Amino acid sequence: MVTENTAPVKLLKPHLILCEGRDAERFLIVLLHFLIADNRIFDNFQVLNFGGISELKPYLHVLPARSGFQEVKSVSVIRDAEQDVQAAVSSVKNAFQNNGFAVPTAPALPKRKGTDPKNTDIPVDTGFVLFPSCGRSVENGTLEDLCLNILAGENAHSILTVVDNTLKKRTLQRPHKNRLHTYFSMTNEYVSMKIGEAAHAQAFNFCASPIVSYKNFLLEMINEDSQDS
Amino acid sequence: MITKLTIKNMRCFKEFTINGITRLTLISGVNGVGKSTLLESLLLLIDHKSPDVFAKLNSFRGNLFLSNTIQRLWEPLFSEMDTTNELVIAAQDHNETKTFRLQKNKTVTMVQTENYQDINNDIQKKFPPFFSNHYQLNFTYHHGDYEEKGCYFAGNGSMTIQFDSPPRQDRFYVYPISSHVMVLPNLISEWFGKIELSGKKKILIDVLRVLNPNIKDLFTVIVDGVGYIYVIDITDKKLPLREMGDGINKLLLISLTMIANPECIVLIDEVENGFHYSFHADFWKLMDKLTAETDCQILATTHSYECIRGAVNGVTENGNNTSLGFIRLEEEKGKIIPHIFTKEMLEFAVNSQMEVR
Repeated sequence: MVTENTAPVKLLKPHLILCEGRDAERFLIVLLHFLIADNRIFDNFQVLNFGGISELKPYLHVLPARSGFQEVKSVSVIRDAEQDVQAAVSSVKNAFQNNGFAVPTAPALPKRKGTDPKNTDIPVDTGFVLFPSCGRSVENGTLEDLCLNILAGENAHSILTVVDNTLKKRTLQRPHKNRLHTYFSMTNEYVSMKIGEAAHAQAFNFCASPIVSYKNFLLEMINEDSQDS
Repeated sequence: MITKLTIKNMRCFKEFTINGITRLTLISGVNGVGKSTLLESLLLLIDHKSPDVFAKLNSFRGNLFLSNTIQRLWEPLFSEMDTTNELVIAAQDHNETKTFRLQKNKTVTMVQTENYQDINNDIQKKFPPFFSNHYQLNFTYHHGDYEEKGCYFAGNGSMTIQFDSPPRQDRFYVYPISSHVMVLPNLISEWFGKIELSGKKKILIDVLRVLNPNIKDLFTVIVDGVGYIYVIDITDKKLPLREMGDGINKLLLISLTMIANPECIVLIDEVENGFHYSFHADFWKLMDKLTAETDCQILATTHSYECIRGAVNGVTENGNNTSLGFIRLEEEKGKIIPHIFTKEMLEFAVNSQMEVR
């Protein structure tokens, strides 16, 4: 039963980024603000949290019926690859396919509306990427792995080495989370922060190559030629 | 139960079809998109034989007085007020379709005047033998194999409905409820008497007690020939129900309509009005149960997210997954498009805090 008393979320921008969970939502919002500061074109994106992996399909099912959807030009998905990249790719493609959207053929390759002969009902471009790579090459992992790969600060690497030495003796179920949050707890700036808060506190280097890959993908979604190499 | 509706050339609907109407259907959309018109179409379709159907349509819109010219009363029903095109309403109900068609009779003379009171004099001066022919709308109604033809005729200062042959008395009933509709106390008393005689008064009391647990019993009192419903509360005090607030009176009206008139359709404009947000879930839980017990149907417009969320929660509490539907009307490229949400979709949407109105 829904009891939360927050305002309902409207569709406000023409390019939607559907992400998995609150952490990803907050991280991407901070990232977009960073990108907007350099290029206002990124102000055309809106981040929406679709919830857990299993909720992407029903989320896409409802999406075209929502008010404001007729103004939407593209829908892209970003989620964790987890431990099986191919399964993650198939899952996203199936979610698009089963809901009448054009189906992207591969990560970071936008599918233009009307170019999928099987699915022409919904006139928006589609695309997806997976954490941690955020680009055309893919690897197993999560948002936390991306964050660990793009830590900012001179001492980040040495702290992470200490973290890894400490944790390697333990059998952990979600080591990516343990590594990242142990790293945060070993700093003064990011202790007890969630990913989004840490992003806001500039814990991550948004000029790192996975972020550049993602930025280029977003520019392709918006059909923009200005890309960084 | 109506499951599909087609409207042509009525107010904002040039060509409009909607499937997926359920036992409880909520309708939303921005102002002016056609929510009230959708309800009015069902009122006209089902109640077209009532001489006061146009008065009901008027009062549903908040026009409490009949227009003094036929143009203002009838022509706004037609899309772009163009009476040369036929107005059509068709609804599918239990594998049968009811269809109502309405069109102006072009051969009937109409004097162009803004003042209805002048029509008689003008007709008398210009068309002495035919001064009674003023304005006529022809209609046909089909329901399965049954066909009905007639006209609405305005002349000599009055409106009448005329049938080519004696019409069949339909068992279908539709009742509009809005803030503007004036409720006739005697009708309420008549229905109350009907449910008392049939032993269904307790159903109504149980419904009202959800909103006001102090209600113990109900009875009617006739004052100057007008019937009023009174409440006996748990301290045995007797109070007129109409003094107990809008919410309880609205709940009484909606519930009594269905209990007294099984298999009816209740059309409610801005259903959330008069109810505190904390009552929405209970209201819809009651309506889900009551419509199932009486085989009635509710179509209601709403602007309220709390009402929508309440409908989802209330119906879910009953363990029901098919009785609730939601329709959002939206104008796209000059056409009104319905976006349908099943209960499952609506539940997901409100659980995810999506804006759906």
